[in-house]
Amino acid sequence: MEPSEWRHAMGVDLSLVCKGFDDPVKDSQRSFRTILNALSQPGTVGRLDAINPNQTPETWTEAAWALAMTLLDGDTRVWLSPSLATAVAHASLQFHTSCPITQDPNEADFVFVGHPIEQPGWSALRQGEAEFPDLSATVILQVPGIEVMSAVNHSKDEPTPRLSTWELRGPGIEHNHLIRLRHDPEDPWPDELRLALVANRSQFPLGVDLLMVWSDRLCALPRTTRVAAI
Amino acid sequence: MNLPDACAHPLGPNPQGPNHPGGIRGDRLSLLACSDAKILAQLLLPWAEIERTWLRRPESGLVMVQGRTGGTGTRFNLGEMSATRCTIRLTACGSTGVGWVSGRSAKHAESIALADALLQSPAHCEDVCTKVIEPLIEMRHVALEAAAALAASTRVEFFTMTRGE
Repeated sequence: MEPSEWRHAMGVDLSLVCKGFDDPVKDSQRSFRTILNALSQPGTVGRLDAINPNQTPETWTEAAWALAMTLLDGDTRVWLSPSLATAVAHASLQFHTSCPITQDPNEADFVFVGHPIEQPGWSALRQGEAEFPDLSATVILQVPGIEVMSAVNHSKDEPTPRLSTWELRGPGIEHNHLIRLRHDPEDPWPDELRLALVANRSQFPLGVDLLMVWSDRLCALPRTTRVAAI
Repeated sequence: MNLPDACAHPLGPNPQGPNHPGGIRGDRLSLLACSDAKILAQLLLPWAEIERTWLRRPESGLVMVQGRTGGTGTRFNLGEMSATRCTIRLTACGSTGVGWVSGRSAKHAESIALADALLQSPAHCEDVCTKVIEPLIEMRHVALEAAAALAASTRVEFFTMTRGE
């Protein structure tokens, strides 16, 4: 509650603001734990159930809104993709988190993307520095859906045309995980996303971390995870 | 943040327009914040059950109070004081009220936010003005006059007959 924050709050149109967490302390701690678990076990699905579906800004999923309420504060620069950057979202983020919203994705700490086709170029996002790899961006990407398959000895069942199957390996995964991304048959974005993640992995320890969300679900692909198509 | 026209109230002139933070709404919030928490809660009893949601539950924190020497010098930090704030939205009419109060009384902040939200709702505005705001103005006048009378009783007139120049 710095005075600057107060003046900030005066500029918000309160009639637009939508609800955040019901219990900010417990809900954000619970959500943070879910994020931590998802990042330490890439390819598993976490559930962020602290937000009701009808209390998010229109184009935001519950999971994306819960991540915003949990991770943002006055020191995190945020970029919103066009579909997410509504007046309601702006007012609500200022009210609840007072985060600075930037117009340039390449200087943002958190990049919120409403749909994969809106994804800004990965290589231009903040990658961290050799001495401080943690000064990198985190991408929160809304995807149509992901299915996780038990994976250790995967029988190569035919992937349906509407699903892209990825094999995940790396820290936090004992052998491998298989995840399937739901998408329309002609969509080029799953392949583009996979190639971007491969390039991202190649410059470790620098790189961007990815949190994929749909409805109230979360699946994390940190920069340590190696992604391959099947 | 628009106050309905029905709320024209003798709370002082408002040269900067009704939506200015220091304008009519600001005056009312100031009046509410300076009121006694118990009396305010009592006055708001008729609306105690009105349906509402929290946009921000009461939270206490520190606010840095700043000052300027003589009102014109450079700004300096005087010290921190505790303050409590909350934000309420009325379910029925959707109006949103804020409550800020010095100290740590969550109840007081809630009462202020409720009164602020009601004052912005055309359905309740006039009622709240007559049943809450006017009594509070009356009480404030009485308190100010009592304080002035107390000070006046010890007033000393300095009167210099001649100057030794």
